[in-house]
Amino acid sequence: MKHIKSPFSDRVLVGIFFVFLTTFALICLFPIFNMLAISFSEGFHANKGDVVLLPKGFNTESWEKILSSDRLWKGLRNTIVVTIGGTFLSLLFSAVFAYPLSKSSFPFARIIMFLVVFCFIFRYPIIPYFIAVKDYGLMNSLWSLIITHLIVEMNVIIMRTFFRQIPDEMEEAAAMEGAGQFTILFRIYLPLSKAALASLGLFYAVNYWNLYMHPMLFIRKADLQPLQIIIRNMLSSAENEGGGSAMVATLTSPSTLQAATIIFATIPIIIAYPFIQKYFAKGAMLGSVKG
Amino acid sequence: MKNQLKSSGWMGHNGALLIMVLPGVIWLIMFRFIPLAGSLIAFQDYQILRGFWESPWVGLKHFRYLFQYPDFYKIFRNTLVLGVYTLVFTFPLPILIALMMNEFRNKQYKGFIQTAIYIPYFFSWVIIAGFAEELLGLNGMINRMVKATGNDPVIFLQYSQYFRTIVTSATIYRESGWSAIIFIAAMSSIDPALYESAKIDGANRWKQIWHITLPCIMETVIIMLMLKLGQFMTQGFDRIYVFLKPMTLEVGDIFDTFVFRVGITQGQHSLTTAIGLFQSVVGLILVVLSNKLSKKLTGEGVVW
Repeated sequence: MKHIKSPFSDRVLVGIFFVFLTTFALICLFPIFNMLAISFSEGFHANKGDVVLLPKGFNTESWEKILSSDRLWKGLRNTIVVTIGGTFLSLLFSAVFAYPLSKSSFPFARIIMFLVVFCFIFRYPIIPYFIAVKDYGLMNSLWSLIITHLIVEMNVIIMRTFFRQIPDEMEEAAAMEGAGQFTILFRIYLPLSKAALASLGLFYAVNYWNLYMHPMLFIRKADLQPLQIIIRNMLSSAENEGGGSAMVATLTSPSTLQAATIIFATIPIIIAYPFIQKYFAKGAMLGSVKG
Repeated sequence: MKNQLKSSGWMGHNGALLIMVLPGVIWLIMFRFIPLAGSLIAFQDYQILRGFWESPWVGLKHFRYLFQYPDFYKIFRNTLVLGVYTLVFTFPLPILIALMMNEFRNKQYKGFIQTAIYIPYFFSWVIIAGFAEELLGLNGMINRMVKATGNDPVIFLQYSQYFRTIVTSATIYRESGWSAIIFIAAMSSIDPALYESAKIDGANRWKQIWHITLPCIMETVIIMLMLKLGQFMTQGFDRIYVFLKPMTLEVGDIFDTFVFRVGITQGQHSLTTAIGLFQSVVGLILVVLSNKLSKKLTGEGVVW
């Protein structure tokens, strides 16, 4: 059999695609590596703007300054607490809520499902929401970040759809053995939904990690601010400090400090990234599943 | 006997389900319906010290004020314009990326591209804004190029004429790769036999893309487009707020940021609740319309 060579036009097309995709991928990575280089550069060079991908005047001064900042570590701690605790509680809460809604034999399933979809498409105005959460006494507590996200309507809808695909016979067989509903959920449904739970957990976790508006609304105590708020404040204060000393040859500068701060905040994501990557495709697909 | 067993089983069954659903229902009441009922403060002169029950009712005062209030039209316009920018400029790229990825078979290359283009989605808007400040700042890469061409450097983030471009570009950077996943998944379910027979008919790659891949994902494209249309009124608070500066409020202030600034920081609760209600109602209408349209075009709704 003779191998048919692909026509010239095909190779040109694929060549263009290759250039385009590779360029876009490099653009996506560029800011991360560039920031890394700036964070290890001398302030003087960073200010002149001549650091590109490779550090100039290599030193670790900016990192030492950043890592000795108590605020940053506290912020990281708060964010980790909220992300881990929140993701676990949200998954538990949403699963227990979605399970009865997946049972067509449950008489209230339809009406409650309607309410969930209604909440999904009719957005509550933020001001009365703020007043309500404040009235519940959740201000200045990390709980204000977790409790308000125990349910994300979209995720409940996805989870219910997933539970519905599990054949009823599984449940009936277990019920014959005398298993209660909680046992059926935790022993049969949840183990069968591991992939979906992992993807939803990923969505919840990313959401918790990146929370920004909620802490601005509910957390006023400096000690309880999560990482995103701390970073935001450090970025703008570095900017303001910068003006006067911009041209003095110091090891650090607003740019190098900002860069180190940003890299600090991205490191946990980059560490977790390879582990969560395999759930992406699944997760994005779930996002398109409707009730 | 058998019947009796069955009926008591039914009771126990539903009783347990009821207990399971209860915490969720209480949550919905506390964090969705009470705030929704609290929206009635849009018809009050709400004072925080007097609370909901003691504040005076003023009917449609705030709504009447709203429609005469120049800032309202400004933020309405800003929300719409940013929405159009976002839709027009960020929607096509993920489809293009997916179409291009579909032409490669090399697992390692695909793996590298996917790893690289998904990662920005996991960075918060605070981080993305940090990237932008560095890139667009007085000493950033872009200004180095500006200086190289003999022009004076510009602090791009402080000028309103660049605001929309910056926000849109940042959105493209953060979300294009991630949004491509859904189209990549749609393409993976296309029957390979279609391509085989096209090849036998002598169709080149371009023709295969145009006549097989694109039509096969059209339904997904329409559903995603309708989903985006439905979200038109909620442009995302974080995305805008992290770029907003006093100098760019003129074009950058949207419903979400205005409500936050004026409602939370300046304490004008009733007026901003009226704005929030307006936003929610328009948003609801948009979702219902886009759902209808999607059902008409693809036979499938976006939400239900």
